[in-house]
Amino acid sequence: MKKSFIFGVLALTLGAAILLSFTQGRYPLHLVDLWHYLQHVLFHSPMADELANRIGVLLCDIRLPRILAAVVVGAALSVSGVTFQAMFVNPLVSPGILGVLAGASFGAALGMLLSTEWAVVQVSAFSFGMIAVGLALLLSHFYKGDRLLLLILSGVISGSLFTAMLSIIKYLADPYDQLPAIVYWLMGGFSMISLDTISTLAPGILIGILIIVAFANNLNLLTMGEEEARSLGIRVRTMRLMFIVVATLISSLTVAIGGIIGWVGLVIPHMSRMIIGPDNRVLLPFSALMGALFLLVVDNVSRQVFTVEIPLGILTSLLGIPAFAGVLRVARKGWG
Amino acid sequence: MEKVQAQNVCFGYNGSRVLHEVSLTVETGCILSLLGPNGSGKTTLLKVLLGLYPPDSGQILLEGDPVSELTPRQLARKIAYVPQTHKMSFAYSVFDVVLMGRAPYTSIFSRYSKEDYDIAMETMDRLSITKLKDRIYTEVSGGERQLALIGRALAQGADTLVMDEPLTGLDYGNQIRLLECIKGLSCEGYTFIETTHFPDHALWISNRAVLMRQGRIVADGATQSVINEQAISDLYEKDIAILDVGNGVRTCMPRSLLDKQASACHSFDFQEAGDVSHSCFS
Repeated sequence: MKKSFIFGVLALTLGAAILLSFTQGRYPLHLVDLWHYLQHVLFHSPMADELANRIGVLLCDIRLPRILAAVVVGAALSVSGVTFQAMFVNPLVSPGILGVLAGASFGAALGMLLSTEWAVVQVSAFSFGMIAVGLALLLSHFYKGDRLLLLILSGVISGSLFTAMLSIIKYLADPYDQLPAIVYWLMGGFSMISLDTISTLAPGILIGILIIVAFANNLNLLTMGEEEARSLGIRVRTMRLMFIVVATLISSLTVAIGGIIGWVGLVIPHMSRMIIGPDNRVLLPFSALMGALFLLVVDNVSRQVFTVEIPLGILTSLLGIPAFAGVLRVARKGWG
Repeated sequence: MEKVQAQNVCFGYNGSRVLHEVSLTVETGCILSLLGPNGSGKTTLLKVLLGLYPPDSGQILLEGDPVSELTPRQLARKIAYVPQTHKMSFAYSVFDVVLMGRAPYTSIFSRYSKEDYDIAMETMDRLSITKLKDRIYTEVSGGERQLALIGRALAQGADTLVMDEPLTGLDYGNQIRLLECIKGLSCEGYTFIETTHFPDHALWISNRAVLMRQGRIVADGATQSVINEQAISDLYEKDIAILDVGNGVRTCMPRSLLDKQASACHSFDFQEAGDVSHSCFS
């Protein structure tokens, strides 16, 4: 099949999923209602004020932010996963490899301990995600040897450090109030999302994704190994640092938006590579759409299937793990 | 014309010196074979010549310009690296691999132009590997992979190709095919610097041979004079005979295997061949 055709199908599916997601939820709403409301807003066609208000609040304040969050976070996690897998030429790598998720978790917990302000939590999560990766980068420079291997080891060290510090925070937190909030938040999800949050943080993510996609061919060259990439005219250190910083930035932002949402950044890159091949120029945008679609669907499931909303992070794991196990048989496709 | 020049180059990793005062001048159109036992610094010298590692002292000149003053892109347009056949982890098509050679010509966002695609196609034509275009690089034979990497180097527009043991892992037919390809390209004006473990390969195609030992160049000159019984025997610490097979064509043979008496099993010195026999059984 032509790649552009597969691309088109995926983009259309995502568009349809977004549209349908507006109709999904506790309050029943049909596509027809959506259509009437749209006509009312755009062309002032008649509609009961009270009904219009209710639908307006429902769509713009409740469902739109969630849909945007799922789409943007899903895309960011898979793009960051593809980037790290390509850079380390390793199928086991996920966005958390350099400690960003551990750092952001610690940051968020610290924020919750020190403040009740949601913005503080988000800024703290984002900052400590970046700090953790910064620490890993710094550590890796103290040793000599295979740079990529050292980076991974430094990431493990940095991640473990922040996980340990997260435990300290949990231990110190008020067990009736703060601890449950921290634990719940670490499970990941968009139930706290607001239009404000998403419109502040989404542009950063989108710009990050665009930067990575724009440099996709450099990522291809980096997969050939440090020496070959240099002999092909790439400034390897600069490029690598750029990819790490941008991929870390967008993963940190996802944590600020929706906590820790596991498995998307590992499973979706593999699935995408199986479908469209390993060329990052195509794979990166494709996996962004795949990730967006996956997380949107799972989020719809999480808020409806059960009477109590299930944290998204739990569902992505529950769905991601069997999916991964299932595709493992053919997962070597795209890898030589 | 001088293509690549090393002037008193010293280089080491983590304080242990690998290259000692190496000086070398490579002329245009030359096929230079670098010979030496394992660990003699051949591969390191190649990488220093490519500008991948800056020398601790001395300098590398490329067409008269110090390599340290060229950007990676400028460098890539002049000198190309053909690594040992490696196993890439991602299943790119052979065409994509060749196309990567155009990277030093692309804009900052690295979009390949129509011209880049055309040049990659022409290059594949030239090496007669067009039929491999859509095959997966990791699934074609070692010889075909090596040709794809040469294709990538040619697509770079570089006229100096640095090859690290290009024949390793290829079957006999593919080795000969690759040597023919190198010889053909050298007639077109390309310069080759390659390491090899087989003095015969040097005798077949190269007009220049450099022998290295413990990070020093011990002999440098026309292949026919550098590769002689004394030099090769000393280099590998094995008694090597160089036989004239007619018309001035010469070939290397190890005396211990030629001599029927000596090659009989009872006289085989297991002590000396310890690591070899070990690797046979493990």
